[in-house]
Amino acid sequence: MIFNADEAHNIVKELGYAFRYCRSSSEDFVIESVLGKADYNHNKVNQWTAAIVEQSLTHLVKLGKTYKYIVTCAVMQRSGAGLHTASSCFWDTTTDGTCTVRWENRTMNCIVNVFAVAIIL
Amino acid sequence: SGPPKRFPVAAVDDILKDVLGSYLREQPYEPARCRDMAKDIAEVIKARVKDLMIPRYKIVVVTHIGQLNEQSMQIGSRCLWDPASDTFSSYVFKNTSLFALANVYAVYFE
Repeated sequence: MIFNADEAHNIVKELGYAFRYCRSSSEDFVIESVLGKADYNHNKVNQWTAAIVEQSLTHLVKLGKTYKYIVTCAVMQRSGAGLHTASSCFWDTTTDGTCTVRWENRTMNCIVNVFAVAIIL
Repeated sequence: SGPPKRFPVAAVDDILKDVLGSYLREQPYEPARCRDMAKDIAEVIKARVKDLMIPRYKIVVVTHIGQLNEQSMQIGSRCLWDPASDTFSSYVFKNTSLFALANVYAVYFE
């Protein structure tokens, strides 16, 4: 069993079934559906990050693979400030993997990381 | 069945505090330096958590280092796992010019 990063990447990017905003070839749909054309709002950002990670997890579960998942989401107001993210993992490189999706609009940046860890049943 | 030895969250909290503090205490935000530091810190934390020798746990370390301006941000995560055996540790460090967040996720290899 090999972790399919493209599949996970597409989940986060492409799912937009009942969402209001228009698709375009390079948009990231789970993120787009939650953040879309909104402006950064400190009062709402908590529920936005929760919605993004929960929807991503739901769609990852639907892949039906025997994996545990960790999904991280960072949403930051665009102000010119810098942000660096790094990760280091101790796992089985033949079965486990990660993918990252970056998204932005006029007022905010969003970074979603997915880590998938295999289990043996 | 479940893990023979539970993951020591408190010991890992101490590791995070120690590593972030020693690397970043007097460090001002500089883009290239902080980019390298994020990677180095993630590697060092992973190595020290491995040294705790907790059997059958896979480890994911995520670090964020950002500039302290007037901007607002939110970082969150959710995990699909077994809460009886899997857990995480998290620590935030701030000085006058930057902030850093380190998370360690420990996943039991069933």
